[in-house]
Amino acid sequence: MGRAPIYSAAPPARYSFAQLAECVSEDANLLQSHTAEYQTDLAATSERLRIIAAEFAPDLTHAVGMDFLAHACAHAELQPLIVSAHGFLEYLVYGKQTNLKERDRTLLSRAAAMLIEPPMQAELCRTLAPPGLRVYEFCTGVDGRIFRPAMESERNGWRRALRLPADATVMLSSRGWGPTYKHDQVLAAFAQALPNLPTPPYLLFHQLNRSVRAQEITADFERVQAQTQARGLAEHVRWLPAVPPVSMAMFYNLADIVVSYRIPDTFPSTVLEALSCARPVIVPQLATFRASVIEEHCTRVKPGDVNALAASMVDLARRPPAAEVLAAGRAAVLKKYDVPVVIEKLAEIYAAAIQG
Amino acid sequence: MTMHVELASGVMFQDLGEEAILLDMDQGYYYGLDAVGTRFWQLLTDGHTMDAAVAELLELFDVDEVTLRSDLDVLLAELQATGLATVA
Repeated sequence: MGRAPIYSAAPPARYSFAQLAECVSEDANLLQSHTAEYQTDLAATSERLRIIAAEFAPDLTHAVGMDFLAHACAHAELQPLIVSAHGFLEYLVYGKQTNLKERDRTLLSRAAAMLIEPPMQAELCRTLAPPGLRVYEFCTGVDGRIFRPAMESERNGWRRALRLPADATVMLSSRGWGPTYKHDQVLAAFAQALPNLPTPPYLLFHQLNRSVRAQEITADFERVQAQTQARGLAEHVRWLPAVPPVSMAMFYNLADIVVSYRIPDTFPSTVLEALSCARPVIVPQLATFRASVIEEHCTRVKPGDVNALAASMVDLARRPPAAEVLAAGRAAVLKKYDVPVVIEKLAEIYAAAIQG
Repeated sequence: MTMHVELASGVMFQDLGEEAILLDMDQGYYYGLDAVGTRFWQLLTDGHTMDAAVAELLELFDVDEVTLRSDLDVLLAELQATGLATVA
């Protein structure tokens, strides 16, 4: 009868909304790789990594991101090395560069495998990668048990907690802050769509994470707040606290439409999570979404076209997709990116790297 | 003992399977419940009495009644003190 014999005292820790993200090598990332300071930092970090590797003797090293630490792992000759690209190669799609930058090529030439999220970028990298590098299309995945469609009672309870009417038309602009996220365009489109939205309309943004200090990001947040006031939209816009990622399922689900309008973008987890919650999602029409579940299951709008974005908002609010259509989006995401699927794929990648 | 427990206004509850979180949108923090706390919460909000909830948790988890009741009292007191729940 006992389901879980493990017992722990029920009251757990309480956490602040402010995330404790801290990039230890942030300064090093900002340095140019040819400077003496960078090389000194790289040598020191590599030596530290060698000591750690000697102590723990890992079967492999997986660097998540092509940043300073990834370069330090390569410099330390940690083998086998797997590198996740995570948006670091956006320039191949959106920039003028048609080949890998020398710094990235050097890193990848020391790696056994490279993981990259967008299917089209994986194809591209296979043609550009140094000889012998295995390139895998790989995304960190979505937990379909957490990012699931909500019951009506849950949805209503969450709206009540936010003091939103049960019948409101709610849009969530679900990303972080900074000029590339284009929340200003989302706000402009919402303002344009507002008279044509069927029930009391609300647009939800997240507050700026308190740990963020970058001036450009803070300025973007303050600009959109000011625009909200200037457009007379204060009563239609809600500012949510910066919440832990796992709780985003509530916000996707209480929204009628999720908008992710970052330009450029790579392959956002936000979109996969919202699709997994069976929500309609609006995204910009971007090259990195080509031949993917995002292209197939989201409403795509021309980048920078506020009129088209507003029209999509109205259209989705007035004619919501059928339940079967939304369920198909969830099924497609989970088939490829659900946690068990991703774990199995990663285990295969690791095994292949270890075997050489 | 019959006990009526409910979320305070402005608090969102998310069931994550064996765990759960409570988000207080007004105060700006969140609170995690482990498997024991989550099941306890579900039982109370489903209308179980404290004694019935304790009886079920004793079936589910390897714990003695004195320890369990003590821990649950602490949990309820903390949920009330932080304004996440009302208990009547």
